[in-house]
Amino acid sequence: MTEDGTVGEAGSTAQPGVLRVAQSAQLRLGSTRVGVMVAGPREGVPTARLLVRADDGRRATVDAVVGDRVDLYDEGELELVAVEGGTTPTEHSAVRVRHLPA
Amino acid sequence: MSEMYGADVEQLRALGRAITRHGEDLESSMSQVASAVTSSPWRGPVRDRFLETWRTEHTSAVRAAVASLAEAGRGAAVNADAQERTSTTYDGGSGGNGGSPDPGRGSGGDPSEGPGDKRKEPGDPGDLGDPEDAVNVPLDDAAVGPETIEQGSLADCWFLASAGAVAQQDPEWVKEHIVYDPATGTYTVTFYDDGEPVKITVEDTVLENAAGDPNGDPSWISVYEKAAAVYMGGEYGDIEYDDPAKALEMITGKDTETESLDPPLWFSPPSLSSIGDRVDSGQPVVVSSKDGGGWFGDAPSDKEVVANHVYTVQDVSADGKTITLINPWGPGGGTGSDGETKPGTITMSADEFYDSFGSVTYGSSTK
Repeated sequence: MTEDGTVGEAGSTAQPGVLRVAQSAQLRLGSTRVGVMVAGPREGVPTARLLVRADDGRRATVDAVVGDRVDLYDEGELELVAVEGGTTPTEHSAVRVRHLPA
Repeated sequence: MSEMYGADVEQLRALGRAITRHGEDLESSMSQVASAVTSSPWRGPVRDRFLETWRTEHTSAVRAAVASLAEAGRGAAVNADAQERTSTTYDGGSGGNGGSPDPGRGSGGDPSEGPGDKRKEPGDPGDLGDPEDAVNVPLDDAAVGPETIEQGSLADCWFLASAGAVAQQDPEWVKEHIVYDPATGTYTVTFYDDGEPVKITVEDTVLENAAGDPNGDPSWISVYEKAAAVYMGGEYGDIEYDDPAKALEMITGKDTETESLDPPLWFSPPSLSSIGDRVDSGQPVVVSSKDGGGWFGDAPSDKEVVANHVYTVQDVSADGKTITLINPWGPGGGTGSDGETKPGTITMSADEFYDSFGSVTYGSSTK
């Protein structure tokens, strides 16, 4: 992983508690789901657009950069650890995230 | 003899190359005109007016034409690729997709008989969590359908949305193709390869971050996804990023067809009404949003639409003005036109739809 948090598509950030979620996929954490709508460098800054939805209907779209923490409603926070790929219009992308329980 | 559908792939590619080349010629001509005028001995107010008009009006018009030609050239190439993917699924050739065997019920498609039986547990890429029991998952009418799918951490919307489309049209087909054996604790799922049934047997466990039902529990789609991972190569990662036409073919064993929603200038995209007619006739139908998984390119204009994603088409309104899609993300994966959060559905106008989606793929009815 580079200093700016970007890794290649085949890169690995095997860190304890860090999960990979592909762009267009999602992660369920208790009563909250986090979907990855877009991921990749935006104007050079690794950025992900996440759709956070709680089982009770609360939802929010959040643009996060590496290092940001996103509110998961009743499930604590999610830290964006890295953004992979998405450096060209056709390259697949993914995020690496860490759950920080409430 | 195969009947021709769509377009001849090589002719379409040649057309795309020709359009692109002519656009490049036009761009080159524009530079040559500007250079000729500015370097000529022509002087005076007429020249000055021409140059001003050239710079302010003609140049932008020619550039717009160049851009349109380039877009049309790319569109032809995209259409050719889509046509080829559809065609090669069936007969290995280009320009047609007829002649595939029909494994449907009543025509030799008994899913209990197949040449390609496989039994293996798919490998975990490492982030899908622990195994959990998936003993005898519900297969009743309420359990099997596109609205009961919740995608996991894998980028396999192409498969999940397609499975949802088949389940929407013919839940019995899904039920007949997932068979649980309590004696061995295994499921046998039947897919198709070139129309021939292939039975995949997997144990009754699934990984917790894989697909499930809207409560996050194992379900029919969990089993289907696990079996698909074995079918596609043996690893869960093998089912990431692929063509929904492949999913519809492997699930039904029948023909598929893909149409661009952003075709070259002289072609029209399929209307919402025509897409609705396909759904109403019993065909499973899915749509793919535009590329732009990163922050590049022609991403969906509707911020509710996930880039580079596949949705199940639920229906089209009777007046043909709106289309309702189901996101395999499950509940909250879309918002209705009234702003109300609905179970994974998103209803949009024709303009919103064509701005956000790049292609539509039709399977064949299994009834």
